Amino acid sequence: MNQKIFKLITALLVLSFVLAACGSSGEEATSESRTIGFSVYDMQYGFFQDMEAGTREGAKDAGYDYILVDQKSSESTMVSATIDLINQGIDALIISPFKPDALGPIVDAAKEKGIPVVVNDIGGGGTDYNVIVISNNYEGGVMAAEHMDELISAAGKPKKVASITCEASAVYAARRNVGFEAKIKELGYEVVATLSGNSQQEQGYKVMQDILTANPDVSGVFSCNDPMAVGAAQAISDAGLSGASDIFVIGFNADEIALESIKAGDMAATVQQVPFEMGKMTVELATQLMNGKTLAYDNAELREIFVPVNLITLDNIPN
Amino acid sequence: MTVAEKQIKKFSVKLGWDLLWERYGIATVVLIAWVIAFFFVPNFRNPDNMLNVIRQSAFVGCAAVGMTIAIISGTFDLSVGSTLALSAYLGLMVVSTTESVLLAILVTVLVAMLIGLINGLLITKVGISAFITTLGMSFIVRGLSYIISKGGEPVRYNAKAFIWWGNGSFLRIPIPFIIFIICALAGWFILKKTPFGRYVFSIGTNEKAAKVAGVPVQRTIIFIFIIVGLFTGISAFLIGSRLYSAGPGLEPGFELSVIAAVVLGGTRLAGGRGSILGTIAACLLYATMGNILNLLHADAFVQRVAVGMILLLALSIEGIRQRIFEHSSRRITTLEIEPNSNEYQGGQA
Amino acid sequence: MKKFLVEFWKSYSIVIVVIVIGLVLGLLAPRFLTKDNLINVMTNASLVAIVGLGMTLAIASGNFDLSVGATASFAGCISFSLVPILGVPLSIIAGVIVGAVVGLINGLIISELRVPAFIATLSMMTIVRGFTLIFTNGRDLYLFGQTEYKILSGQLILGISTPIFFAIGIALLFGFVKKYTRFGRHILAMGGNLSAASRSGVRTSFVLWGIFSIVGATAALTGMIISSQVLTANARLATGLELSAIAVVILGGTALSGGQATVIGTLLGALLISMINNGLNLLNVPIFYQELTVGALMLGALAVKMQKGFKISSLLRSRS
Repeated sequence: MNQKIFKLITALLVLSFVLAACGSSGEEATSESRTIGFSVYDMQYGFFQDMEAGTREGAKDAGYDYILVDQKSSESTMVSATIDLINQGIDALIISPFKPDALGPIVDAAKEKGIPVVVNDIGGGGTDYNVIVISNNYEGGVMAAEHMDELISAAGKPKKVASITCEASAVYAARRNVGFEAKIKELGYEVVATLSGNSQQEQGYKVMQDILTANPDVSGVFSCNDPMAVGAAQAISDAGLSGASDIFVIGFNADEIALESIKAGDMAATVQQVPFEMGKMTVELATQLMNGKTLAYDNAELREIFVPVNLITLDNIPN
Repeated sequence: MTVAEKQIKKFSVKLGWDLLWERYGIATVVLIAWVIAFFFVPNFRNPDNMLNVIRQSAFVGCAAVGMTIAIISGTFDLSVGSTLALSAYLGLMVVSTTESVLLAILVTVLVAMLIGLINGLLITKVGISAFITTLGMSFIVRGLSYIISKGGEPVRYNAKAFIWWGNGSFLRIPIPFIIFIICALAGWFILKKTPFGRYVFSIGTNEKAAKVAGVPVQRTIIFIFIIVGLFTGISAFLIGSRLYSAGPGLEPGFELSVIAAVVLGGTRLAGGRGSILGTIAACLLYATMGNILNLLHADAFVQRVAVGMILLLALSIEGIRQRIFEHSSRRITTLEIEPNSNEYQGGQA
Repeated sequence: MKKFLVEFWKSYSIVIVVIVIGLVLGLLAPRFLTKDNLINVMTNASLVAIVGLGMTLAIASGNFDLSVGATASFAGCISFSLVPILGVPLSIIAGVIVGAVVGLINGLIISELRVPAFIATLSMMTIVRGFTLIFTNGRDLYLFGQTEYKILSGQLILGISTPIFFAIGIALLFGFVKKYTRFGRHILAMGGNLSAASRSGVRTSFVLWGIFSIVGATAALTGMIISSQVLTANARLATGLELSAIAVVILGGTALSGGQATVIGTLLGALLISMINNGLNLLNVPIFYQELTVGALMLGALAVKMQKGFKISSLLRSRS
């Protein structure tokens, strides 16, 4: 009896491969409308949810079909899921890569099928993409440093600041801290601590506690992302101080929690990126590429288009 | 006589089913999934897509072959994720500076084997349990790779001769899949055709009895961890080549995917039982599941729940079947051997 | 006396390690030994210790739970979303109940479907995180300005924070349960030899449900304390908590093979890791060195226990 089952299984196996071979020819996408594929970094983050909403809306407005895949913060999922996307017969690929360095196989696969590749933020990994839309991380850090200098000088506090970094593998986000530290040192400040909060909110809280212990006279903190900045602001208020007037906390992203934290008077400012608009913009760029137009780059050599970053404080906070 | 014969026959049928499920259960599930997806999931039957699925299965697969051997022996290795990152990163460093693919393969595999050797020595000579040794090693190795990289920046390299290993094909069959099958055949050969393989099974079944029977337990365990390193190194090289790059933060959680694949393939965490075929099927199932969910445009949050549920479901089939069997055959309990001995295994390494 | 020393070294070597590392850090970082910092260290140790204590019971019974991080963040989110409806005290209790229910599901899967704990809780980790994401729609829940919820992480009396009281209270409770109740003896019996325990009348399924419900409840408490610290709850909180909790239990001296548990050891293990992380932060040492140290310490502490503890005892014996 068991042998029969094995034979059946073997037969099924052979059958499915035969079918696979036969079915291979017929399935090309022939529908009239164009399809945009978007491969997103990780939908767990508010930033990428906003970016996805912008991309989706842009695609809908232009009358495209739209397919989304999630890289779930894993580089091999990034490659396999994006290849899944390409194999579904999309006409243009938009990708916000979890690891830009692993874009190579994706861009090669897309080029092989003549699909244009629009990279949305993070980085291009030195590949042959068509265009990258990028908010200037380094410049955002510099902006934060300048604002912090204004705040600290006005309050007449000691020129000592700290810098909280993301997880070590997020090398592109790390440029925010590099920009911040370079500018603030130039302005004559001492960076008393550079510690990683692993991009996690609760780690931002812990690291800030330790920074406060080691340097009670620290007067400003820059954080690589908003969750850690909010965590740090909470640590400061648990120590009986304020992250908006005693020790100035500046974050990055303008996530909802950061805006709420600024409104609540727990935190001084955040550097805003505009993920929703970036999403819409990438669809427009994809349209131009599909229509064979040449793009107007900000930096032609690296095919970059810069998106401005803004400083959000209590004065200009959006509702 | 006749009663005994009847009982023996019943018993052998039960054993047959047990083994059948263990060996071919997941393979059947994969086949059914493929057949259904072939007809009902849009774009699945696109040959590029199917080839991508089997390519994808190979990256976890090679490491899973080594892990199968470890788990059959009753140990396991939580350091394979960190080992993967460090060895892939060093391999990329070598290939990008020397441009020698052969040297990169050697470095990647040897580094991974070295970590395996250290694991094996710590477990046998110092006497720390495999779980703790490899957990501790995973922290140490991950930390080391960040320290070596001085900040986490990955290394990129995209010369054809190198990326072919992860992205190329031979007669349309993806190279990584071919290597996976070769690894699986090697694993099968080691387990079934060598004295070492017999030692692995006997240690997994009963370590004390194996020792009494003259199995060189310590040497075998050291060897097992070196073999785990070898296969992890192969995975590391393939992933590095597939991604054209590797960094110290490569693939966090890889060890859990590998262990989950092996267990899904029917290998018992308690040791003593398991098969390479099951592991191959489980790796294919994993890749297929992810692919189908993507092709059906399933929501990313729902995907997580679905993958967990499918895993649980597949793993509980055997338990449910056992319960039903026990229920319907209370009378022949005299001949029941060890169906319960495997419950509640917390991975007692 | 010498026998006593041997025993003491075997079971309390971690006390000595804690004191030595504390002194070294005190010398290197002058602010380490201030009252405020020590309270911070103990608070952060308590966070992991609370879930670690639950994990101690699970490990003593020969199981463990990889879903505690997911459960922690799930409970935090449920509890935060209930605050407007139920008020703070009830929503905290609701959070604990939710954690216990998730734990109970784990227990049921393990006992009724006979899935090994490792893989059952690994699957549950993915499922619960996914559920939390669906529940929160991937967004943050926040309670900024809500001072009442801070009771879970704030200072209670004499500047000592609530988590410290929780950790000590739960440790006392579990210590009592382990020593003086039938449930405790059954846990250890199960961990020592499952089939023997089952044959001698231990209702293993019930004990298992109890254990996993407790683990779930402690995980939920830890999750809500973390949420209370940052006044935010989301599906990403407490990532990796499971490994920290297991590491703490092992460092404390509870054996993975089951059948034995040390509640005080778990507290000390948590204290040790918290001290090291804090000390290295005070010294501005990059995070990868912290990972490296924790790993090396785990191996070192156990190597000392296995090998040196053994050698020292034999040395002492040979002299006497």
